Amino acid sequence: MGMHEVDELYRRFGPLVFRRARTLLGDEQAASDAVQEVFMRTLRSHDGFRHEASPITWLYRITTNYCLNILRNNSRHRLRLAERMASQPDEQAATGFDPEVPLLLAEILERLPVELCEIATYYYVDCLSHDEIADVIGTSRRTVGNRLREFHEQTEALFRLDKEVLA
Amino acid sequence: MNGLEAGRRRLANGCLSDLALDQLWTGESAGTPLEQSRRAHLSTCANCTRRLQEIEASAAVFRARPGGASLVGERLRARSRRRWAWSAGTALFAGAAAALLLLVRPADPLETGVRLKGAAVGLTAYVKRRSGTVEVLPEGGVAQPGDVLRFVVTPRHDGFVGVVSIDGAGEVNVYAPQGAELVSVRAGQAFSLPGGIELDPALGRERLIAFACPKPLPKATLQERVATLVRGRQALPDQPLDVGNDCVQSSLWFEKVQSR
Repeated sequence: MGMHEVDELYRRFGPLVFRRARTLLGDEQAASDAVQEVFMRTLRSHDGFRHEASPITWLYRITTNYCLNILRNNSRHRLRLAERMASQPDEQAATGFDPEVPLLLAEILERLPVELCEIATYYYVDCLSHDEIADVIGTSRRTVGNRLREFHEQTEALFRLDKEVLA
Repeated sequence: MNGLEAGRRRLANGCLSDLALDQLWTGESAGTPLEQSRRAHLSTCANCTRRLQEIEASAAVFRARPGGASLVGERLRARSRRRWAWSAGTALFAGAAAALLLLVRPADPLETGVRLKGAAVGLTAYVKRRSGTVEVLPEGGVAQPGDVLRFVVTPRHDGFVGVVSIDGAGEVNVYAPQGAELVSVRAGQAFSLPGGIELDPALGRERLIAFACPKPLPKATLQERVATLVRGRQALPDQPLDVGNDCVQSSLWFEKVQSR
């Protein structure tokens, strides 16, 4: 793939990858790094990417998986987010950007399987329909519904457990 | 969970998801029935229209940022160079391990396709295609970005070996894992250099040269000498490169082409 093609892909899809990564990671620099990494992975798999009916669903999936891995494995990133929330409580009002989302995702990732967290991200953060989620992850609408139900049940169980522990 | 559920509630029933809006403004859904229904919704929904405008405005800001695609290209090339120093633990050829073992033995160079120049060192390159098949890469053969190469060198004398690649742009890389020096090898033994390299996206002709030197030689020195010899040339050099230190060499060239 020549640089011209790379430029065109980056220009066309870079903004949406950056926007999603910023929402999921809560940080512009981390989002910039995510864009670089997502495009590098796309270029390494560019044959598969080229044959995708919807390159955007491909990019959604790669971006989500990359960002969830960062949230799960990078404790320094989570600490920076928590400190920022504490020091800038009005950030959402000022920027329209909610730092609570990545912290919530990170907390859930510590306790639930990543497959459930991925679907929950599409449903709650991206507000995708069941059909759209099925398209993104390549499964059936029924499976998406089952996974979301499972996500609810497991988070409810964790919430009850937390209450018992804290009581 | 309350924070996530609140995110879901920002969309009223029937409103378009971020995915739908992204497919709209990038043109991915252009000409489809889905596009028509989405545009129909936009014409009646102030919330979705506002969100689409915000997305388009943020896209313009992003595109105005410096760097961008060129940084991606630079990182790809840097990662390609790092892959030359792949550790011996990488098992890229797991599926073809048995086939490789059959070939890693002293053998008639003409039978195995080993390239001999000066009859002092042999070079065989194996390519693992993205389909998973493994085959010998012959002189003038074809490979694609994403294919993985692995090398077997067969020196006639005890010494130190490494493999150098020169691409069409004159970029030189040295492959000789296990430290900063070329790899120590015994005479007559076909030595499989551990690990492998994944070919980067740059297309065109590349030349692979196996160097065998009687004494230790730092990889950086070999790289610099080869780079000096090819600098400024308009075409990939076909003649032997005199890198000094009484090193002998064997080479083959291949063409890196676009994936089909």
